[in-house]
Amino acid sequence: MAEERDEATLRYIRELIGYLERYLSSKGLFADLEKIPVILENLSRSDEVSEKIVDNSLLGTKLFQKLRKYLSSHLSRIDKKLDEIMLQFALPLVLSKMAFDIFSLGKMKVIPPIKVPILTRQYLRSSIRSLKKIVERDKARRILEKKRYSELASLMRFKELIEIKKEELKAGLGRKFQRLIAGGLTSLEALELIKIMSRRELILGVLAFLEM
Amino acid sequence: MSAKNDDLKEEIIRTVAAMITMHAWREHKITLKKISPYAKRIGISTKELIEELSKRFERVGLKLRLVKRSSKISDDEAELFVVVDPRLKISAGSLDRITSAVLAIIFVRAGTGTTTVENILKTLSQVLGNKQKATEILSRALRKLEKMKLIKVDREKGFIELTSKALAILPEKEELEAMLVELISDQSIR
Repeated sequence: MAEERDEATLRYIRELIGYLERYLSSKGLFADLEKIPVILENLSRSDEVSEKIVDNSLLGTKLFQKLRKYLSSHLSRIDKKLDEIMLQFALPLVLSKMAFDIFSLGKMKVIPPIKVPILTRQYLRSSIRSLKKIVERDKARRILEKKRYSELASLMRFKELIEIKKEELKAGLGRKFQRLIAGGLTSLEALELIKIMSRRELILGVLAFLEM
Repeated sequence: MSAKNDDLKEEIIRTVAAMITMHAWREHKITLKKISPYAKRIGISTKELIEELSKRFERVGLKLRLVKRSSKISDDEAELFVVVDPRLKISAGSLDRITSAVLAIIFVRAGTGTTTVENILKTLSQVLGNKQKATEILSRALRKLEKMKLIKVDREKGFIELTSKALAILPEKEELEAMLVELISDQSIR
């Protein structure tokens, strides 16, 4: 058990050395940059690691050599990145100031592209006709709005009828329908009643009953 | 010697053509007065130079337009513009369709003079059959046309006036009038 744990610790140290070597050989372009600090953090928590690197002095020396190189390389990389950020932050301001100075002193003229104006008869004819299309589109929209309104009005009327039916059912009116519900929709009596009830009465009754 | 003169003549005609073309859409005006020294240099009259340029532009689908906004200004101050020949059988414009249509209406109503915003709104409302929509379209189009320096709007007096550029770019007034009448009569039949 202890041997297995020792082996695992050694494997972990070797894995870290591998990552450090890859980082150093790729000059910081190593893809898994976050892996190294995580392993280092884990190793620093374990007491066995310090024992192992003392026991295995060759491995310990190699680890510290790689770590020293990694730290100096990584710190200079961070430093460079910070400089880049500062430069990126300052560059637009510097560039716009330079451009403003150049143009305000009249040292450079902006020459817009040369375009020959065009407005052909055919285009104007279709342009004037497009006004008619606006009218047609407007008419179509108005018709659609009217249609939507009438649909809405009929829906509201239907809702009103359901409410009336609900009141009737609550007041104990609409005996036929009450009997239909009481007997169950699959009963023979229900089938007889459905035959004599109008479709409208039936639909309104069912909807009112469902809403109750 | 004659070959040398011909070369110079050719060079000057080409230079004037380029000058007019490159200033077609800009602030800087090219007037007859400005090109007359070039004509003198090659020993021809300004009228002859214009004729020669017109021929050359015509050959490549362009049109040389001489715009004199009013009889008050001298002939020398007439402005020169190069535009794509509006008679060509292609459907193309430097403006969007609605703005072009509004410009055409302004031209029909104002010509080389002025018209009122009210007048244009009346015509547009007649075409669209909706005053609110007409107001919306007109205000948007006027802003665009003003920005492109195709019209001048006196907001206090409510006057609209076409600039030389607009007059150069538009086809014949009668033709536009016919198109508009056709559209209005078509509307009234409906």
